[in-house]
Amino acid sequence: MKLLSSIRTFLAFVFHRSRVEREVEDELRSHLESRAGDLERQGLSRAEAERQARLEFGGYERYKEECRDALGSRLLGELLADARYGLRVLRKNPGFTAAAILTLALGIGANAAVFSVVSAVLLRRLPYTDPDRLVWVTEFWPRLNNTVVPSPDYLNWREQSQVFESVAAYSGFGELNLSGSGEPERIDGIGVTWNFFPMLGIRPALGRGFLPEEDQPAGSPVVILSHSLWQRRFRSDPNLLGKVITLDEKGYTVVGIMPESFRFPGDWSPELFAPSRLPLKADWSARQLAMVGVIARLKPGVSLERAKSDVLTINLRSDKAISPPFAKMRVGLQVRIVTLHQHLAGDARLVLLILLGAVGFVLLLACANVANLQLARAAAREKELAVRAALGAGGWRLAKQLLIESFALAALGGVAGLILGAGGVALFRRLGPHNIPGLQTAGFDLWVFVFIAAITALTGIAFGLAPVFVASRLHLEEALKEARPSAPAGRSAQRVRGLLMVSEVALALVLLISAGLLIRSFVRLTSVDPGFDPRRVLTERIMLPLGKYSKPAQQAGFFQDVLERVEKLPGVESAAAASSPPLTGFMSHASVELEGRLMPPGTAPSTPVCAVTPSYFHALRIPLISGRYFTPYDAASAPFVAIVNEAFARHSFGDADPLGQRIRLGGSEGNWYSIVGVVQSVRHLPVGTDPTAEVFTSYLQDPAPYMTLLVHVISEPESLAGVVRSKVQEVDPNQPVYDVATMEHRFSEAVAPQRFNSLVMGIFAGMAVVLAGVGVYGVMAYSVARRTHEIGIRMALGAQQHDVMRLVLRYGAFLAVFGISLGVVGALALTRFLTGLLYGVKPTDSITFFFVSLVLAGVAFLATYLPARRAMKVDPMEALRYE
Amino acid sequence: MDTTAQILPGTLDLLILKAVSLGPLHGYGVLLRIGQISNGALLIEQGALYPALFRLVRQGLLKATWGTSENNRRAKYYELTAAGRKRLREETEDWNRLAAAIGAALEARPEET
Repeated sequence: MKLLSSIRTFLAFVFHRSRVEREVEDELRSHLESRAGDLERQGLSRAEAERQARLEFGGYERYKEECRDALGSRLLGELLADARYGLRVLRKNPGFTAAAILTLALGIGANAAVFSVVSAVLLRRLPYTDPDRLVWVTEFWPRLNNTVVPSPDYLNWREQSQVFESVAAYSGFGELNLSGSGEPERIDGIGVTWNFFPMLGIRPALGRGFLPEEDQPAGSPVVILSHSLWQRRFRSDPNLLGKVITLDEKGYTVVGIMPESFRFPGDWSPELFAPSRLPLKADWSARQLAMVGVIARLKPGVSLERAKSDVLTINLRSDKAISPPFAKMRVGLQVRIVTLHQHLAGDARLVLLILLGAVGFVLLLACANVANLQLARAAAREKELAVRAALGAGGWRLAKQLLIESFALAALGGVAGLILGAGGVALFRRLGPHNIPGLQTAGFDLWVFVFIAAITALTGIAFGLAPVFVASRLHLEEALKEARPSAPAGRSAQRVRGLLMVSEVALALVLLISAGLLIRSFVRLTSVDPGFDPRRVLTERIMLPLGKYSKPAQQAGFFQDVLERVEKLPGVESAAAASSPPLTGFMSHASVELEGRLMPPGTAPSTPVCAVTPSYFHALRIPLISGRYFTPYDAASAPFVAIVNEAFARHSFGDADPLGQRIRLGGSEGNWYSIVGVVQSVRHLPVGTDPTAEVFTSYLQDPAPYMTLLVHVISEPESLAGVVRSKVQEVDPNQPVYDVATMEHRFSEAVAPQRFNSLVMGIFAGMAVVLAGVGVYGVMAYSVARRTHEIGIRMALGAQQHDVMRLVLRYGAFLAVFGISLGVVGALALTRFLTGLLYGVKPTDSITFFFVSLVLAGVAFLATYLPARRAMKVDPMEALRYE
Repeated sequence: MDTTAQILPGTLDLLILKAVSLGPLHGYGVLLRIGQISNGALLIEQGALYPALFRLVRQGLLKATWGTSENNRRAKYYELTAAGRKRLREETEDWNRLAAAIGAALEARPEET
């Protein structure tokens, strides 16, 4: 009832404000008239009666106000009036308003952009049914220093687990050559268990999911296509269902098409899904164990801890069925279960939280700057405020007025920030590295708007409090007097201003040091010598289907044929191929044994082995240290030879000469190879890791179906990509090439996350320095303006120009040094959060700290020097007359 | 001795409810009625009446309708609602209890403590 009538009066007020006002007015007036009438009848004169009636009534305006209050309309009325007044004030000071809005827009815009990404990557729920119960289950093998799940473990969990509603897995189906209908293409495919899609709660948009009987080692060959592949390769042909497509020269029946919105739960997007065809029973003695990724759905109410202990129990039980050498590898095995969401966000989480912190700092700086502007203006408005106070405005009423003005300013800044923020998000999406999953879905969602509204309001309060504080110290009589060089309010405002400047310098320094550390890491990372020359090298990958090229000689023959054709192309200096060249993210390992130091089976260290063509080392400019490179005569019929890198030589032979030594690759059935050369080590991914031992074989003696072509060209490697592809298809028209890129591009992609981090942090730090510089300048310039009179007196009394200069600079230097010290302390406390993002630089790197402090001190000096110079030029006569 | 008294805070509402309970009144009428029923012994600042009236309307204790006054002027008439009647009854009882209690307390003699 009460609420209803409140709402009614409120609405009545909003829509018929003037009517409600008029009615109140009418009623009070009618009272006065009636009373005056009565008094007149009692014998008073008309004028006397009216006066008496007013006296008896009491404060007319006050009661009218109280009536509005009782109607619940006063607050809103004042709010509207204040907002209107505030906007008028802002319009009358376009310079101040523009500066403030721009500053706020920068701060709010940067926050909006970063928060959009945070919202998309960290806050948004995964696009699956009831995603909170989906978990990522994996095992960490301390002996292998790796996290993998062998399929038997998965099968046991699926069979025995008490805590999971369902357990599904995916396994590398690998990349497949799709041929027929148009240019052959390499498609990223993945094998999933039949319950994979049902567990996520996703149904194909067309057709059906996999059947349990298809997901068996002998199941019929079926595939489901992603929406994008269906659109691109098959022009969204609805009749594709039930048809057979050719993958790696084998036929697969298409049974379903995924919906367009489906996103695979990983940081890559496979376009082809096939049944995993894992064995039905856990069998640890199988010759090859598939490694799987496991996603499970917890039963309602099951905690991660309980799930972990359940899985651990199952593992311990199954350990008994494992043969001793393999069981030894399982010593110390850890089970790790995290929510799927957390698993997918992965490393991006740290980066995003750090960036969010950084933009928070930028916003604080923006607030400090606007507060500064407000203070300077509040001083100019002292008289206006004093007059208002003298006319009866209470302290709270004045404070509210000032706060609402600030809110109006913040709101305008928020709107401008929204626009800047939209640009920022677009920039993030363009520049962001691929390892931030879901980055491409970032945009302004509801959360972002709520966030922006919240920070806009907070900003309004943050910088709105400064003038309120000053106004609260207002001394009426003082303020109403004519010009006073330093009123008490002025002094407290000056203290607030000094404090703002100190905190601005400190905040900017923390950001600048963070950016400095990240940039130094990036520079270190990119200036690491990779051990080869990535310039002018075009790379294209080829994966021969084993169905067609089953014999090693066929594989070697194919590549030989292709290379001969490519080498003849104009502009090509040399053409080579290798099974696992650097920066492709692909390595194949084999056990390597030294002659005379044979080890028990299964215990020989596994070392990367790369099959290469003779010109490989030349194409990548990898220097020979001793011995010789491969030649075309190192063919299948010749004695088997190997080249090792320096790391391998040092590790395996120490100071002894490796040349002429023999090694066996691939266990007891493997071949023996004589070492004929030692080459310099190269670094593999991730960029920056130290080179590890590596063995090279001649591809004629040790062919592989997967090779990367490396074409060293005279100039502009990109331009040859198409020609090289056409040469490959001259040899086999059904053979696609994929992952075409120059080596330099691969390198740039490999350091993209670090580049992104240092770039974004650099931008924020740049904004911070500009804001801080402007802030310091504002404080100093204002201080000089306030002290013009004092300076005039000093000069009249004989102070020299440089004395005045020193006076101003000393004040500025004091604040700057204070701010920098505070910033260094803050940075020491905060930079350790960056540790995970740094390379070759300690979070407390003294060089960075020193130089960055120096840079900021320079900026602060400049921002102080300019006003100081103005102070120096004060004409004492002018200054004194100014009074 | 002064025969008038400042009214206690919070009692204005009660007086208004009582005044209106005797028949619908406009604002000035409420003032006159209070003066009349208290024999002019209670002093209120006249302006204070209106915020109180608006508050009571908002609380649903009074109902306001626009009508015409005895001298043919547009005036707002207040009358008691059911809730207002109930509140008046309760507050009257409370007041009597309180007045009796205070009265008894002030009558107390030393030997009774």
